[in-house]
Amino acid sequence: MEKRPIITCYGDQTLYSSLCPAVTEMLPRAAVEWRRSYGRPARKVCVEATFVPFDAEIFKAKEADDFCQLTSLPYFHLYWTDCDLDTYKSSIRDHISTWLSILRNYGISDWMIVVVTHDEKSVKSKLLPRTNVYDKVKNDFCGKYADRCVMLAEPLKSDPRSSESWNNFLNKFRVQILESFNISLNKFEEKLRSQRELRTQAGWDFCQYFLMQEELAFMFEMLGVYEDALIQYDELDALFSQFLLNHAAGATAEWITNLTKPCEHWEGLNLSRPVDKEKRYQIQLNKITLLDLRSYLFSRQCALLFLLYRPWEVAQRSMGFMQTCVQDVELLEVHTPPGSLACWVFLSCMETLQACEKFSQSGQVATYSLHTASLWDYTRKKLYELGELCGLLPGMTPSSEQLHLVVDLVAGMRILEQREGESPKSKLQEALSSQTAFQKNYLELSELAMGTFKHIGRMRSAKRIGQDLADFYMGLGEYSKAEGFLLDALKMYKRERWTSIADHIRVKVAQCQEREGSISKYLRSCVCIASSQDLDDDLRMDYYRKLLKLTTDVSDGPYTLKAYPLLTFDKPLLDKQVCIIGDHITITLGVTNHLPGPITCNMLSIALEPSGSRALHGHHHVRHHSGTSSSSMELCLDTTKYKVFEEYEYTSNGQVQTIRLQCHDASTMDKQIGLNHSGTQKDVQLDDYTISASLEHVVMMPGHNTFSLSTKLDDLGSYCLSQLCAEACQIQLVESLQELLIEFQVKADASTVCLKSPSGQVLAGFVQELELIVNPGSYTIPEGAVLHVSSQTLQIFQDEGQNKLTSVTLPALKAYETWEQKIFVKAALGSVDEEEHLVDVEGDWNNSILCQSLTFQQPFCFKCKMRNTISKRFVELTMTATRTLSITVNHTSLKIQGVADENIVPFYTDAPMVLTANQSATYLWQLKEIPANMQTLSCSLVLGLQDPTGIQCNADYNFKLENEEMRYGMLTSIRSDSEGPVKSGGTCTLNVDIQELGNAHQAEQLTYQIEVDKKCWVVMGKTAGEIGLQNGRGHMSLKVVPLQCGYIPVPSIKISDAGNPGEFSERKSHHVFDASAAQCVTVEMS
Amino acid sequence: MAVCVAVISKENFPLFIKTIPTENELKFFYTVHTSLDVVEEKISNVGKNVNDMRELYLGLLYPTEDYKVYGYVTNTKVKFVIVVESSNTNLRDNEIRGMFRRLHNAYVDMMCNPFYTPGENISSKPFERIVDSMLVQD
Repeated sequence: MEKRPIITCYGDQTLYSSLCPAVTEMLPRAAVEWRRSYGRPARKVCVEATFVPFDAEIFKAKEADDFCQLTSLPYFHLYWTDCDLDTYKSSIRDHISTWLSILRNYGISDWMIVVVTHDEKSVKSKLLPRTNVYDKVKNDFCGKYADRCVMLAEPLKSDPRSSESWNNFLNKFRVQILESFNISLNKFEEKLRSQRELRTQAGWDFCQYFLMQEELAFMFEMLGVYEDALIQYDELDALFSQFLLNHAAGATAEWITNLTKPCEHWEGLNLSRPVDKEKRYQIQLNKITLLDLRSYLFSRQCALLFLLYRPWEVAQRSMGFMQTCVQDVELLEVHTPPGSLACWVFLSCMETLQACEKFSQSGQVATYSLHTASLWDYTRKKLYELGELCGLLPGMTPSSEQLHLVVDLVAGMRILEQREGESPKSKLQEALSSQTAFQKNYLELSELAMGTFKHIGRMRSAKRIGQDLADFYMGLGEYSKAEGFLLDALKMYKRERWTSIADHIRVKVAQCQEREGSISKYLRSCVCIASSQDLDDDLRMDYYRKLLKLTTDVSDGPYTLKAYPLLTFDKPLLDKQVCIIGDHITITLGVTNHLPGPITCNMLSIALEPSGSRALHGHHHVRHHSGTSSSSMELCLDTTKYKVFEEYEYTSNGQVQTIRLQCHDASTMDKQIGLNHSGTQKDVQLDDYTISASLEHVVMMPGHNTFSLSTKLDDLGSYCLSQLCAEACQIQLVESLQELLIEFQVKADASTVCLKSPSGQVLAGFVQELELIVNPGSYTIPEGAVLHVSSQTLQIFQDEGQNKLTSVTLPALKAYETWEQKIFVKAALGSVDEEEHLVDVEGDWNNSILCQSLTFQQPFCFKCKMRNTISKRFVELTMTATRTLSITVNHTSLKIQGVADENIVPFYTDAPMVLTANQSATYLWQLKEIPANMQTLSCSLVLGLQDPTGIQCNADYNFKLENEEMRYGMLTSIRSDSEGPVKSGGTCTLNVDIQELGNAHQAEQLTYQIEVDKKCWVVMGKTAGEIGLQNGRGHMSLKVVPLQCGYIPVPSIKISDAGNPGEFSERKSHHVFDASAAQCVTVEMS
Repeated sequence: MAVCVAVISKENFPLFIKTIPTENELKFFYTVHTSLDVVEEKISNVGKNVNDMRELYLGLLYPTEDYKVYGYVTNTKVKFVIVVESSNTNLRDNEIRGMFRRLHNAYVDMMCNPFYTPGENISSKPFERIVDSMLVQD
């Protein structure tokens, strides 16, 4: 602090000059509470002082110029004495009263008399008052104000008593000084107020008033109450601004016109000294300019803010300050040479920034950066403005006028002294000196501003600077650098959907890319610009034309781009979900062209991907089983790893009840999808278009268009629409359709051949009419295809004329076109009621063999039997009609293989016979002369049949009979032993005679066995035994007793070869002709 | 009065923006967009003390040589930005507050329309009329 309140000393000069340094030192040690009037807050103040010898001349000066002096005036007056009583009485008393009278003359009442005593005892020992100098002085001068006189006891000693008296003195002194301040300040403020009241009067001068109020501020500053000092300047600032506004509004004030002199220098703010004396002097002379006055005012505010340790507030206020100044200059229409104001702002900004940097501590960087960021930005803008003006921007050549301007501007900065380090002035001078220097400085400032903005998190502001930098780099021809900045900004604007800004930047990006020659990126930008909804139509048309030109001009294509935003597509519609192989499928596609003009595509195609090629539309799926009722499947959409779980819930009977898709990281997915269209083109890849639906030469008009794409599919399977591609010469616009999951199936139906009876019933034995129906299914049958028809068991005819049929030639048939032809079949009669016959049909166009089974119903049921006697043989055949049909049997004949027809003698006469349901006819033939060695007879019954409709045909019934030979003839008779009729209970004799037939008598012995009904007969003797044969004849008799009376069967005897006694099989017994079979005898009552 | 009035969604998407004169539209777009930095800063600063009943009016966001940008944030974080010319010294804080209140009321009325989906661009005629009444009329 340079200035301290002045206090005058009078009296014993040697005394006060020895003590004053001690007082100066001790005075500020303790703070005193300063109470003030008008409800202003009390403040703790450390009082400091400068001691000067008393001189009445000071008051004369005050009289002359009492207007705005406050700090240079003495506030308080001290009188020092250490005399004894006698000296006091003789001279000092008068001396004091002269001093007081001078003070009183000037109306000063702030004084104090200090009495220094060296002999303490002399003071204390006196019993009566008014005996020492202190009491005398008090009594003589102080009157009511006892505080005006202070005793300082032995000040140079350091005992407690001395220090106590010191404290007493200092306390009183401080209070007195403050009181004196109050008095002076009150007086001064009173004056100030009255001055302010006069402000509307003509001739009132702001500068005078300014200096006066500043005096008050100095006073406060001197006292260390910086807040109050600052308030003074803030008040002045507000008052000044209001004046300017009023002035502009028409309430002109004379003093303001003084300020609006043309601006000749623009050295900017100076914060290096607390008080810019030179400017203050200008104010005193009333010659200050508007900018200087503002600068001075602001520099004082800053100085106080620095004293208050609030450097960030300097930064905060400076922005407003500079903008106000610029506005004021405009408002008051002050003439400023071009560029001078920019210079001023630049210098002031730099000065503030440098000053702040010096004062700020590292802990405040954040708060402080908040304000410096915009200051850096402001500085940067001003430098750019200057560069533009002086022709220093890239691509400009400074004219001689512009060079002059630089000289003038530098002159106006008034570079007087060289400050250490880089002063704002030297910096600006350097920056304006050449284009390279300008470039370096501008880029440096831009970096700084951008960095500070980024540091405080104002990304938008930082990117805005980035755009300016991009412009600058574009001027320099460094397009790739510029593009980087622009793309960065573009990303942000797109994310926040400020499309109009984004599109605007896109135009610049396009310019960069065009210069850089990166065709694919440039194409992309052209597409975006031409399709933009926000840009000018002219611009869009311009880029539309460029785009069209590029589509044909580029040579190293084709370039693949995303279709968005040039084209947007509606969801493709399929005409069918399931398509038959070889059939056309049509995809209806709505396309919106966002260009301002039509675009001609040589091809518009949709790639169709067989679904099998990637598991489930390009996503792997893994099935998880969780619990019994639900299972889930995980699918990964794209390769970007979204896990989507497909969950199934089943009901108790195993049906699917619910299917759910779940994505656990849906939030990230949402983001990704949101950015889907904004992504780079790197991931655009052309799918496989070998299977595709396409349309050639498509003209898309601006707005909505609808196209139908169709294709024919030759392979089976399920297909998914995977990608869409519009190809315009060298450009392929691609849109992925995978997410839409549009699928369809290609199916094939097998050809069918079918045999059908018109009546629904097929009878064996007759020629039956059938319909052969050919259905090619989803295939087509070429002209001349042959259908081979064959059967193992059936006879097949082309017509009723019974021409054999082996193959059918087909006409050309389209898919699902049926073709019919009649064919005729005949099945032999069989013994089974319903018999299945297979017909093989083979088509030579698709190599498939088809077996058609036909069920034939038998019209008759046959029973055949061979009947033998000892000498004769017969064949018996019974034919029963099984259907309700009336079938006429015209003739029948039996043929036996190996037997001449004349040896088969029928026992009936051939006459037509009608048989209907369950009616039967029995036929009998005698066979003569059968070759003896024939074991089996293959018989064939030939029937001449006629069905109810009158159709006649011959049918065969083939069957086989065992050829059995009779070896033995046997005769049994029964006779009562008691002569007369057989009586029950009476013994009878059973005689058995056996004769071997044929000539060779082979056997000598036979075994027999009697089979009797135990209720009827009792056999006396052996029931089984042997019979001897002699010359082919044998006899035996047995005793039997009938138990019942009546007509009862004779016991039957079974005989067999003795070699195999156990064999009484049915077959063997056939070799025995029992002449008395089923013979009965009458038994009478005994 | 104002030279630009903007309504910006919670996600910083522009919902409505109107300027006078329209030729300079882009400049104002930039100004409004950049001001979002300050808006966000102010909002996040308020969030620190919970008891603080948040004032919707954010005050002067940042001054430029030519324009003053004022901000206002609704409780649903919809931002209103009004740009006025710096030379227009008649507009005091109170007038600006009044403009924001009117704008907020108009916005609320517009939101009450069941056919308006929040987040869509605002195309309401009554809303635009009110905005027009705030813009400079020469």
